[in-house]
Amino acid sequence: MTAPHEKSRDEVANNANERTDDGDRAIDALLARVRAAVSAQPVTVAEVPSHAVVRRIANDASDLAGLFETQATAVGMRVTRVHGNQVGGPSTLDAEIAQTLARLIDSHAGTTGRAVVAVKDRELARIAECAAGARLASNTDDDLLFGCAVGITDVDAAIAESGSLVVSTNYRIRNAWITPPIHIALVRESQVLADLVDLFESRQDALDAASTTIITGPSKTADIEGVLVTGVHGPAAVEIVLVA
Amino acid sequence: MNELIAPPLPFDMKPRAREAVRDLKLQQFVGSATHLKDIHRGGIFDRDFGHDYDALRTVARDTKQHALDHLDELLEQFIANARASGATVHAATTGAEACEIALRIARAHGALSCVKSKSMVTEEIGLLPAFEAAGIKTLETDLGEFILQIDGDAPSHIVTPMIHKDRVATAQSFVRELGARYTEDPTELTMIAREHMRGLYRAADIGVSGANFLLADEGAAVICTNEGNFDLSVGGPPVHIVFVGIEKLIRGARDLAPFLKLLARSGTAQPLTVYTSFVRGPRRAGEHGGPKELHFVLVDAGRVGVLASEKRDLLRCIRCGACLNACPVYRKVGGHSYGSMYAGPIGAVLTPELERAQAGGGAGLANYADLPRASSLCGACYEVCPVKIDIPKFLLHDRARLRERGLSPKSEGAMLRLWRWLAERPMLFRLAIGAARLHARLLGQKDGSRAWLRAAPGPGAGWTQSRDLGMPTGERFRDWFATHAAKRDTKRGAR
Amino acid sequence: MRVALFTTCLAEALAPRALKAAVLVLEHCGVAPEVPLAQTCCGQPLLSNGLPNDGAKLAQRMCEIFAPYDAVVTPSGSCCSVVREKYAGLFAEGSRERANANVLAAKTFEFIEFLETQLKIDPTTLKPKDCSANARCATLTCHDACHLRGLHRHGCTAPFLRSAGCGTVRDLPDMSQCCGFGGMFSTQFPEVSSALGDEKLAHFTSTGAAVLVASDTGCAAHLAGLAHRKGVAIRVISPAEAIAESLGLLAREVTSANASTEAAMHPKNGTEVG
Repeated sequence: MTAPHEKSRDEVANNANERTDDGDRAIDALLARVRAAVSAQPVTVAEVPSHAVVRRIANDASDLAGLFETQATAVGMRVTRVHGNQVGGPSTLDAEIAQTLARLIDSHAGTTGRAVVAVKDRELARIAECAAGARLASNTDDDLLFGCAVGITDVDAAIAESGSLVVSTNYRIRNAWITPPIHIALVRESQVLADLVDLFESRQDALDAASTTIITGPSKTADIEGVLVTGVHGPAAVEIVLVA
Repeated sequence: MNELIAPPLPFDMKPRAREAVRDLKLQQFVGSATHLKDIHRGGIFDRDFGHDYDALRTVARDTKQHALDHLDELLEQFIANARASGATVHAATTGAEACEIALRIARAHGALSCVKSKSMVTEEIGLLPAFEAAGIKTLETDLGEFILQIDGDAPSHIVTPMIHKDRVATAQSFVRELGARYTEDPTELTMIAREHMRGLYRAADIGVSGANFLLADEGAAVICTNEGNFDLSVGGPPVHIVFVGIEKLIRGARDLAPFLKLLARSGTAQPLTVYTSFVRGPRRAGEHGGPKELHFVLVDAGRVGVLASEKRDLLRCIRCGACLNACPVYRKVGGHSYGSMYAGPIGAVLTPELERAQAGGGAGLANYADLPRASSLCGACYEVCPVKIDIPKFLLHDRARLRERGLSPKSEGAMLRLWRWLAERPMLFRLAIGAARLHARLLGQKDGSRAWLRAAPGPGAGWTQSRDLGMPTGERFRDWFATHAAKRDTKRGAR
Repeated sequence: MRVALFTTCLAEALAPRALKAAVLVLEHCGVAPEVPLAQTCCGQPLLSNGLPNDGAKLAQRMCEIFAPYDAVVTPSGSCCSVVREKYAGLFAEGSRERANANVLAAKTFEFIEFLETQLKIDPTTLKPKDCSANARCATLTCHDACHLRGLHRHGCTAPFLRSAGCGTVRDLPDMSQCCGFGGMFSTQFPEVSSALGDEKLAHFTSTGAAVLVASDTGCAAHLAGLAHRKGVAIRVISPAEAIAESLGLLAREVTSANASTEAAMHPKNGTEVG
């Protein structure tokens, strides 16, 4: 977009500096008032309590992939499992992923719709790009995402307990999972965490990005008379390819 | 600002409540929606946490209370960490200051258009009117908020802002305001809104949102939506401003899980909201998409005053809306009867308190004298609160303040004190009850063992405005018991 | 064990039969309750309406009056919750008054709660001998007082009465919603209060029951008063009355509102048994 502010960048910088001075004073004032307010009442909770009860799924629970599939389906996403056991061996697993992806892209984008690939995993990225073929969107177009029929991503993690996907902007085009009307997510079974708690306890790296989103279903609204409608702003459908 | 949620003060709730009770459509929409939400909420907690539900709420209560008790430290950490990730942090004492900060940022970028994600605090500070007055065209992107915006209406529920409106009203607004063809189908209506907004997301100069949580460790904000409108409004425009009340701070992601699990289940009976989005600084080098500037505006607007007061607990609220759904009074009077963007039980205690604690000092309860009284004290709000805010306790507290400050009806106070005086004198007390019974026996309509009054005198008049008063006509309990006990004792003695 | 009946002012004024029933049922269970004469009001109207200091004076009275007893039983769920949940907080920590309030709170029970948790009455032992032929059996439904929530006794009345064979006990839809009474709320916001009451009555009607068992005198008076104004056929009684009637300790009352329906169902009903 042609931003009117482009030409006055210096001015912006100057303003920003001035603001910072004012801003610092305001922040110091706020901190001082908050300090006074905090000490105006006795501390009632000295220690943060144990969060043991928060966890629903033990992190050594069996068949997390199966639970993830069940829960993701329950919140309205579709799961296709790829085992690579059609013939056997890793090359057939790749082939099966490619085949599944191609089928999903076909069904949602047809032969002319474009697909954006925002996959961090090199191997999966290559497979996804092949599957998209001629429909692959170029990464330089500013309006890229709004013109795509399908957004393909991998994930940083998945959560069995809630059937959630965790996607960050770490080496992925931001919002590739939310702007196109269909999101296809590639998830390896080894990425499935038991519980939301595990994301925050052992996978803080997933939060070390400009933006991270935990996705639990297709975009939903029930604002009009409580009737559930999917696809209000984000995708109407989320297809998960769960890779063994 | 919209008078529905920012009425002239002092605010008189009663006319709005009376009108709402007579509004059959409102009764139907709000009544059925809140009932369903409350049932689903209970269902998902039973299913997912069973007997641990109460323990989970206790954990959330204590975790948030701990954060409030240490808010100064968390605030410092947040500011340092947010800055380290490249965000700019601002502090606003008042709503007007918060708006002014936003306008300065917008002006610096020559912004003419804004996409806004749903946020209670921006309703509170009046951001939208401030932007509109400055010529910045602002789009509410949450579907419900969008429909309210084009109708000049105001939210009546924290989570489901248009709970008081139906599909017909929406269909008519879309024809009138968007030139859409008439349809009452919620899916079609939603798609009309989607198409309308997609172009606006791409063209907007600035994005605005609130936040559900601030993480001190990470210097990040967490925003929960079901629609995905936050991600789009932060992803497109070159500048994004997050407005957030300081009470949203917690230590970090390590403390987040209980709140996320409780928030979505309490609000909409989901395991998590569809999108739980973490924003940690502006777009980084080499990244595609995301704002080049990210601003956090930390809003006080009375919160520091609440923090210092005996009502600190109120700041635990995570705005799930469960207390609204469970509240019998909210179900009957709807959100606009509370004269605030915070309706229902939490609004009844929070609205006067925030107003009182504003910089400069508002009149607080004097401006909202009806709110603490508009409750049957049934306790449903406390029972469903995910952070265990004892709302009935604070309602009682406020009723006492009203009485002390002479803001409750004087006659009522005199009557209650007379009651106490009588209650300390058992003989007189019984005489008074006897007189009431005699009155009913002489003037009431006899039916079985009761005499019914259609119009009781004095303090009973309020009662008989809408119901009859049935007084027993037979033997008094004490007389019966005296005889009965004497017989009983004789029998026992004989044995 | 010395057991006192905490009658409550509202029940003495409006529901003497509920108190009578409580006495008779307790005696049936082997307890002879006493009725301390000096008791008046527990102070709830004051505590709920911004006069905690006035309420505290009545609370102190209550503590003194019930001091000699081992247990205090009341047919009112709401007054019970005030004693249990509110009294102690009225007095300074460490004070003698606070200690007395805690003692009273620990020995005060709602009627059904007392039978179930203190007397450990198995409700099935309260079953009338021959229910099918017994004209005393009615179709009833239960509305529990909201204040039983805090006592963790909300929703306990219906199962108890069902096990006790007090007629056919139907579930009241949306039982957990307040009936709209709320003490002085009923006169401060009469439109809202009666709208909630009307909803409760509509749910009652939908069950097809003839009798509503309300575990608080206030709720009962509110609902019966609304029904009487509107001509809705309903008989509102307390849990103790339901059990007393079922056991034949009390005869069922007949009013114009229920005469036709109940007479049709139980042609021989009417005379005092107790």
